[in-house]
Amino acid sequence: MPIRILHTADNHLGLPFSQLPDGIRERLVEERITALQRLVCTANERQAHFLVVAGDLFDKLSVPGALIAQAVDVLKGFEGEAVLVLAGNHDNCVGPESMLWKTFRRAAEGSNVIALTEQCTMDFHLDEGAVRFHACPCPSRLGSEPMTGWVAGAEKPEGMLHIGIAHGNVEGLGLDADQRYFNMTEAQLRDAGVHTWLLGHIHVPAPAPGTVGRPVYFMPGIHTPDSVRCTHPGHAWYIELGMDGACHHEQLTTGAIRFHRRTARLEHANDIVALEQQVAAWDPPNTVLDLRLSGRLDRALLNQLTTLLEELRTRFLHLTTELAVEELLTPAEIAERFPDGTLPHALLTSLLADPEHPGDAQVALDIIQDLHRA
Amino acid sequence: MKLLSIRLHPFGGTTDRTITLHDGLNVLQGANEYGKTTLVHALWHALNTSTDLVPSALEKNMRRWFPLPTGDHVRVTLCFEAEGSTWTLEKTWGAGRSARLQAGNGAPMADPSGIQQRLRSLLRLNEATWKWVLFTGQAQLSRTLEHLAKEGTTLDDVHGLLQGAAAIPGDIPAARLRSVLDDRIDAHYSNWDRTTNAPRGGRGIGNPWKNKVGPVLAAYYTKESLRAELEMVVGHERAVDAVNERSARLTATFQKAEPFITEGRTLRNGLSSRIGLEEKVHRLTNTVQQLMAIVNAWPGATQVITAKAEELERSATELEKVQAELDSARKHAQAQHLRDVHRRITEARAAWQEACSKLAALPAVDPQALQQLRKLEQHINDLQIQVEAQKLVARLESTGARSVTVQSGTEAPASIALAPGQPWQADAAGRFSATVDDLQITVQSGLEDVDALFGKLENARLHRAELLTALGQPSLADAVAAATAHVDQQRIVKGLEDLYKAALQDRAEEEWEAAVKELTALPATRDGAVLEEERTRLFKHQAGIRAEIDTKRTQVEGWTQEHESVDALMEKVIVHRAELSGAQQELAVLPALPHGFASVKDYLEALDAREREQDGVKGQLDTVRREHARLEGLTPARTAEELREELDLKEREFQRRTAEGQALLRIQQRLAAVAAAREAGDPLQGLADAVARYFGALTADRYTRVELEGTTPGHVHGPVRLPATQLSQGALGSLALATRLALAELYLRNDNGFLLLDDPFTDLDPQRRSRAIHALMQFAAQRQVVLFTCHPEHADALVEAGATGVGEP
Repeated sequence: MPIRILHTADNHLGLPFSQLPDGIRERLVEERITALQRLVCTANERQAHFLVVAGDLFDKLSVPGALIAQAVDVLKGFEGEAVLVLAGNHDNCVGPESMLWKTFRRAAEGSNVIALTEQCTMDFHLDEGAVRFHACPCPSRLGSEPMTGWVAGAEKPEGMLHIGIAHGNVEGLGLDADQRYFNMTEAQLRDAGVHTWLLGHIHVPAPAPGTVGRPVYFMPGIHTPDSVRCTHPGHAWYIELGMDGACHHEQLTTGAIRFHRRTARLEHANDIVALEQQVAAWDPPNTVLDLRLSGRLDRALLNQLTTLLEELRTRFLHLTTELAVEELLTPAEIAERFPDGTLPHALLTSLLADPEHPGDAQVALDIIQDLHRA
Repeated sequence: MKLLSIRLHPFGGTTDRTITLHDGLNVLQGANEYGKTTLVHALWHALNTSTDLVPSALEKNMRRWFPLPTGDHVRVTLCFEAEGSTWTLEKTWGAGRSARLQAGNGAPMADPSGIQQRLRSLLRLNEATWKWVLFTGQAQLSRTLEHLAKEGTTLDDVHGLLQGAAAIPGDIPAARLRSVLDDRIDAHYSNWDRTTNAPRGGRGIGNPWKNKVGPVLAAYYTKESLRAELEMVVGHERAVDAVNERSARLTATFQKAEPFITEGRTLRNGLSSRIGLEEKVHRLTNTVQQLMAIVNAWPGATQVITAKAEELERSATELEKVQAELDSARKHAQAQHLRDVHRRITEARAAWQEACSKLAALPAVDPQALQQLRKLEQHINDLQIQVEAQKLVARLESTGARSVTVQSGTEAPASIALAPGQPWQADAAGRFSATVDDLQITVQSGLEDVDALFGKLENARLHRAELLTALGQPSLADAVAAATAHVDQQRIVKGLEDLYKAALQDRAEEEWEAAVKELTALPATRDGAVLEEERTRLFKHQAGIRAEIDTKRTQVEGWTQEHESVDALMEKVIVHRAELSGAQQELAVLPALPHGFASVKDYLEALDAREREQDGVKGQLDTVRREHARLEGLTPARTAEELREELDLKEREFQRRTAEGQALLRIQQRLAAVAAAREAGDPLQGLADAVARYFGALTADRYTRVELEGTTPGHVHGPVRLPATQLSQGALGSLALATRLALAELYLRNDNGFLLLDDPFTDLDPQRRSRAIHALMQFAAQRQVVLFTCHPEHADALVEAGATGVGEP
């Protein structure tokens, strides 16, 4: 019987979403803990032996004690052998006096929730077999060397599954040009001599879908999206590892709220229709939508766009827009507003004839209209 | 374009109604709310509104005309003449929307946008012209007058209103637009330096402008403030990272040393005891060894003393013998010495006697005679020098061979042989004589009396010879040598005599001879040096034995004093051994010295040093942790990632504001060009005359000239020149109508169009109304006019003037 593990990381509990309004902010903050709750439930449903959090459970060291206690309470709901929580770079453990981890340990005392804040091995002897976890926590937010080096020389008794847990960038998977995030290479991980690695830090999952066999490492990605930069719905790994090293893995979708950003240039009615169709395909009540729109539309289409945006605002969980859509003044509109021969007619017609700056005509029209209203 | 008929079926409150229109002035009279406005809008939409409307546009533009309560469409059919053809236009909006335009029996058009394009070309003038000039709404004119009544006659109000009602709506004087645009640009770039593209005066966020902050500057301050905040946050994050890194390093150092220190603290006491015990064991071991050495040495020492004493006796005996032999040997040495001395005395005496013999053989030289001889020699030399000073050179030549006797100076005469061709030459001192046969030639120096000189010299030489003969010496040098030899020999004799006397050593020679005779009876001995050597050896040997005996005695005395006896000493050894064993056992149970240290002292020193280092590291850790806590307390509310995202947003916003400003500048430039072009060719040329003509007609030529500002009447000329704002309400209304008619005339001068008027005489008194009707009829003589009125008397007056009544709308 294989050892069953549910692997997550980068939960970033305590992420403030301070740039969002109150209602949506609270919802998103709550979602982070709710998604973790769902993970625990899934782990129980699958009768996982271990729930592994490979770093950055918390967004920062100064998260409130109440949140720490809440997180521990959620994790305590796991019915398996143990919850292993590794200190990542955001919730790093500088030493025994770390307030976050002292609070965590106090809250987890007597439970199966274990904080991995120092380099160590942890053995479990189950009916299915023995497992040794090699923990490589982060001692700081930044580091130029990987924390996994010691594992290669660590004792690895035969007859046990050896699993490494670490947090940091993997060369080729994430961007760490300055080598500041405990950069690891796949070769180093392979040469460590463990059966596989459960990693955290990169918010994008790995291995790629369809990969078979036992990968050198797993990266679950963030468990529920936190911004438009996250283009996936939030994932975790369910892993079955046989004592013979055989591996079955399944990617779980764990997030309930999505973030989407759509950048579009609107110049025709079709562009608006296309935009409407695309956003309609998402799950509006559970989606935070960010639209960056540019282009030029005539008045009618601009009104149509405004109407569409108002409608989207009511349908989506939250909508932010950055509009750089200029009203396209047409010769017909100029003719509609200003009789031939008048200065506005002449000026606007002249401005509209500038192919490089056709939007100037609309600006001039605004000024002329302000004059009329004055 | 000339309208022929319009049918509403339905439109607004009209279910189905057709109105036929004619050339000239068409009058439609009906009460208020009777559908005039509906008809105007039906006409307007038929000509200008496409049937292909999006739902929102349909709702906005046409919904209000759907028949209530349940009408879902409106329809208008318009017949008109244009471009030499009769056209039929039918449009339906709403349910079953459609459009159809057909010229005569030609192919109908059904495409809504195509129809609108065709209509635009048939209408010729643009939509705004039709809307604001030719489709004059009732509300607009009456609103003008209402506003004038309500708001008073302030210049701005009237001017703006005149613009709205009397001029071409929408038109603006170039100067005003330029002024507004300049203001807008100034406001947009307020406190922004376009040259440097930075805040004016270089006042960035460190010293920002508080007042007159334009959009560009505001956007700039916003983004730069964000950037500063981001830098602060990044700096804070880096500071935290640095503190964490340092903490991790110190913690690692602390943890690395902790096991050693912890173990050391446990071992410290035990190891400190070990030092004392080790010392004790070492001391006891040495003591036992020392005591055992005494135990072993003590009995032997006594025996040694006895043996050495015997040896000493034997040595003394031997020494006596050697001493006796040595005395004899010394005597022998002394005898030899006596013989040597006697021999030396004999030899000295012989030498002395020989020297005396030699002295006797040497002649003595009288010193006074010698002295005299020296003086005489010196005198002779002086004379010779004087003679030499009278030097002559003699040269003899002969033509034949001959013998000549010559004498130079005081030299003896000599004979020379002369040969022809062989001259003879010689030096002569003082005098030279040459004698040939009986001829003697004498030459002598004239400087002195040479004869006297030569005589002195001769006498001196004779005296010298006498002295030498007396001394028995051939020469002065020989005399001196003889004197010297004599003196030397005297000295030698004296010296030898002294040696002899010294050798005697104050004794007579006979005494010495007697002593030598006595030595022949001594016995033979070995060599004295050998005996001396042996005696010395024996002395040393005895000294050594004595020293050895003394040492042993001192040892034994010391041991006896300290330990009493060998037995007592053995007891002591036993006690010390027992103590040593106990200490060793005690030592065995103490903790061992850790590996890598030569001694407990080294280990404890290392432990102390590590503890001090650890205290230092702990102190640094405390400092770092305090710093960490301080930084944690200063954690910014927002993260760097959030701020970067917002900064991107604000950067784009700043770019937009900048682009807006550039657009304003371009508009400013374009306005200048357009305004200049307009000044060159005024498209509304003649308008002033037309306005004046109509105004004159409406005011019975009270005002005959109008000055326009743009398209707005600014001043009127009558009896006096008046600003238009100072006209009465009635005159102003006439001016508004005159301007409207003049504009329509201007726009329609090349086209066959029509003018709509909606109760244009509302506020005109009957006289002005009559004149207005007249002016209108003149206008309508050339162009189609459709006039709506709710006043029957107005309609009657118009019909009476020649207008066509087209029935109630």
